[in-house]
Amino acid sequence: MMHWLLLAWIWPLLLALSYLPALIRRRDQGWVSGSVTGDQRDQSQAAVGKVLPTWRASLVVIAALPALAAALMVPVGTELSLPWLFLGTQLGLGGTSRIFLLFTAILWLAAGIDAAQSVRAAESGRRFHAFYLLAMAGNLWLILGQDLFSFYAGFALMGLACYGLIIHDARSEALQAGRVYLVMTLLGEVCLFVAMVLIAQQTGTFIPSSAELARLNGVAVAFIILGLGVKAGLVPLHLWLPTTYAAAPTPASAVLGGAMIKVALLGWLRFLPLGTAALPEIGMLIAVLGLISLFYALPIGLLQADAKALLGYSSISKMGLAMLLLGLMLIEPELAPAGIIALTLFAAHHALVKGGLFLGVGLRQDGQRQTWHALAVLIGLTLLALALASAPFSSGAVTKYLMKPVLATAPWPWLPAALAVAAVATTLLMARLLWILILADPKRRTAEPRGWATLAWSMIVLLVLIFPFALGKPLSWTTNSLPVLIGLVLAALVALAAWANPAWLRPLIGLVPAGDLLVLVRPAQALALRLGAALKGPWLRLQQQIQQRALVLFERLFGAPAPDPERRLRAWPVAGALWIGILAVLLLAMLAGSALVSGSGPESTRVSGEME
Amino acid sequence: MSQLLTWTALLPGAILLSSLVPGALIFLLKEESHLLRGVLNMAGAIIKLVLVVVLIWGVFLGGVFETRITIAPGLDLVLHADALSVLFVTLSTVLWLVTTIYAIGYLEHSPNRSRFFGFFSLCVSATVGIALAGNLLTFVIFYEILTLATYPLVAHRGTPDATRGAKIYLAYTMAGGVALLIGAVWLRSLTGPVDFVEGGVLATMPEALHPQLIAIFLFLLVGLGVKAALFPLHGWLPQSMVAPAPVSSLLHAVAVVKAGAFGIVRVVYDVYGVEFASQLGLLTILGVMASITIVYGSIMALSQDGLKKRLAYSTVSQVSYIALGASILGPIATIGGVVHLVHQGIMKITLFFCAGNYAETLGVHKVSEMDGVGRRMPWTTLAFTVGALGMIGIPPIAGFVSKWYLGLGAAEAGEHWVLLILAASTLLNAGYFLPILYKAWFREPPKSWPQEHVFDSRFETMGALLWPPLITAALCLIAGLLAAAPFSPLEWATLIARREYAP
Repeated sequence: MMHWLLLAWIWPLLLALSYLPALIRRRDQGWVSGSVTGDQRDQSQAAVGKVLPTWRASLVVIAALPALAAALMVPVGTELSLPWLFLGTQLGLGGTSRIFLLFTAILWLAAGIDAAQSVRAAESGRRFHAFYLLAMAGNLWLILGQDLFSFYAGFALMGLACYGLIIHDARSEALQAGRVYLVMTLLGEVCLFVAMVLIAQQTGTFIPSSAELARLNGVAVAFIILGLGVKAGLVPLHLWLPTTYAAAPTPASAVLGGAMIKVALLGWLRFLPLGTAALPEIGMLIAVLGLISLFYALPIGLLQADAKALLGYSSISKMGLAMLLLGLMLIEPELAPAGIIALTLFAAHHALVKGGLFLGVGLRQDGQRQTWHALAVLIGLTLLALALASAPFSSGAVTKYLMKPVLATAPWPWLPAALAVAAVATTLLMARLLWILILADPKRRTAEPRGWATLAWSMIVLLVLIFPFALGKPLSWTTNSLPVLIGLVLAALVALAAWANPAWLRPLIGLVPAGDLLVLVRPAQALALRLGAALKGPWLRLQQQIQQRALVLFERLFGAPAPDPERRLRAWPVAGALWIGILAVLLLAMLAGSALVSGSGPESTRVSGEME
Repeated sequence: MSQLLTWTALLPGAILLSSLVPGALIFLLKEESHLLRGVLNMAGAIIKLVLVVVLIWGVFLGGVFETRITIAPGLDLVLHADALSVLFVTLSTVLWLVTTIYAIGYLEHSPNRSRFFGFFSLCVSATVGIALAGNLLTFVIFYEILTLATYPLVAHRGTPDATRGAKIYLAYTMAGGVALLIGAVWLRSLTGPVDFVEGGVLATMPEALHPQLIAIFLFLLVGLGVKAALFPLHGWLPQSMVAPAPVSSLLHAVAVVKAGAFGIVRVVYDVYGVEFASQLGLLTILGVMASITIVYGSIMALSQDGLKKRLAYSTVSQVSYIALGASILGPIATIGGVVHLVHQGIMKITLFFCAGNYAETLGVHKVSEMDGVGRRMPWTTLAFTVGALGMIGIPPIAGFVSKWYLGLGAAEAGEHWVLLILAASTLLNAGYFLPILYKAWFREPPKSWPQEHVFDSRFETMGALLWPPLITAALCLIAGLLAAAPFSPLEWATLIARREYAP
């Protein structure tokens, strides 16, 4: 049973390796570039039109199955120790990681089904699928690994492989977004590295228990927050998030926004000293940062023109809420047990809803209009949007209910009112999303069938619908009704007004571009580059001058041509023979010398041997 | 019994001769005798490997292997195998084997091959001599032989550029050699013969001599720093990039640069003793020099368009990790520095092999020409990717292991600024490697390559050029993935640290 823990993340890696043989070309194809002759050019163009065979496309689907099986079948508390692997690997499944594994596997599976149908171009599709498998392996690895190294390695693998997913269609926005993503991801990884080193040093172990984590100091906690904050889109580290979500293909956005962003939450739950140490100052700081993220993202999200960028801002806001809870738990350690359960269920709820929304947006944008199919997609999207807005009888309401006791302890009396405002704004945001989806023209309509993808998506919608009734008390079903109602009324009013006068809101849309503060980064970057160039010029010139001087001097000293007799010695056979000759004479002299000194050569070596 | 003792006494010498003798014979061969030269080369490399495996096992069991030849009374030439030398010997032997295969393929149709392979073998013999040197005198001798043996390799092509680069190389290393010699002689005059002993030998020196010891350390550091390319003594390294690819690979991964770094490790641990060096404040000097070099090398690498030049500056930066590890007091940092000796070697040799493949197969010498090169040469680019990601320190490739131990060691020693250096270096490494990977994998290939050779082969290039980087890339992965397994470089480095810090 415990070997499922290994199989769950090795399996996608092995499947990714199956893409290697595709790199070997058959002899008849040759290695000359396809564009050299007309004949071959035709061949390469034919290759562009080709699609991936179905068996290869379905690899991304079967890759997630062992993980799903492990999440459902392996009992909590199972452990598997592999001391020889990497720096000592400890796999295990706890209560929290089981829930994370479950929803992560479901999302990768559903998005995989979507990818298997929607990403089929032969050349670029193969690349996408390979990176998809790698990212999946990384994500599962870090959930199942209990040690620091597994977490970091999985995190890095996932982060880098994801770059290949984001820039899949090579549009200039995608490349731009990919570049920002990569830079921010690397920054996060470096901070996480420092955090991991500090954890290892301060706890003295690579598999820290919650009691040992109590020894962490403020600096370590700060680096944990920073390192994972990039992935969570903590303001102001969120620059990459909205543009990336918007640029990536649908299945990639779904796993990015659903599964991968939750990695940050998992890391915080695992490595922050929750429930064991009271860190009032840093807890307060985290709570405030969370509040900023929570409120900052909502108005900017409302102004977005792209549905996926809007969903990105919604994610930032929701992760801000999670940060707020974490901060409060660090201030008041006894809240931790309740808070951890609330956050875990929140992660599951948000992952399923957000993943479902992204997949649904993809189905809506690519699919046909005015059919019963399109109508069903819209209804599903509405249900998911309501769940995200925490409408009554939805999964959102249940998680809000669980969070209440933790939020009630906050030192700010105005917090409940503020959160109600946030709930209204979230409802508006979701209304805006539906508005965009109903009105906007489909970007690219495809004739490809999406039957399986739609089926997988409707399974997710079903899971979200069952969620509150399976996991929540009846009391929790009606939490938060009032703000949602207000939000809906407001949204209806705005919609009516916009219907009556379409030009009214138009100037606002796209006022703040996706990635907001990114606009400020560009001039700073240009300035830094110019500064660097200005400094580098003189430095290089100085270096070159010094080198030139030294060279001239050097030539004057040694550069004179050798006199004639020496030139003959330079001929190769002579010089080589001289080399060996001299070498041999030296060796001989040495041996003879040692023999003279200590009687006989062999004996002297024996003496040294005997000293052992 | 006595036969056994003789056997242990002869093994280090035999390892040295296993490359020296074939090298000497190769000088006498005619240019056309491919087969004989190949057989000599490969036989030497394989015999050496077998001998080294025996040596590893023996040293692991705690055996003493020492060949001692007395030149004059009080002047002994000592070849002695301890854990540290075994690490370096193994590295150079394995990589020599791989590089020999590569060089045979690379130089297939170029002139002066006998000269090349002769000096090539000599160069490896000198490296092994440095690794096995049991006292400072032996070390200095082999260090100088190495300088002289590599000069013809750098100048091999005979173009004006090559002679110039080789001259600069010679000027730097000879000057360094002088500094090293002065330091070694001075030290000897104070203490008598300086044997390398685990834990150091100078800690018992009277306090009055300490200023002299500091001065000697600086001389030794300058002498070794030239080869280890410590800033500001690194000037020769980018210049000697004119050498053929196998030479650059060997120079950067094993022979010259590593000889310097290895020497620094030897001097710190086995001459001064790391705790004594720390008392004298020498570790701080070394640490600061190493840190500056790490950052400086990376910044310079950012703006290089020549692929080999970029890799050269990357070497400048990465080799200083070893010195950095030596400069932090504590066994964990020692492990990090020493294991990087191996890890940097296998990663950098992979990168240089790949650079050679691009140049030889497609005529691609510059980063700006590398668009879409991953489509044309996927396997080479795959190996390059592994090497580059390892350099950045992405787990689970070998580079991460060294970085982790360096970071953890620094944190244990309370020197948290090292973490900043490591973080900056990671980002800079990513800054100059990731654009290459992006170009190679994601850009469209050009209409035609600068100078394309199509080999009659199933693969993207000649087999002898393709297999070496694939093997070393696999080694990078294995060294990382199985770092905690027995006989991994990491485990061996742990053994070294345990012996160095033994009470």
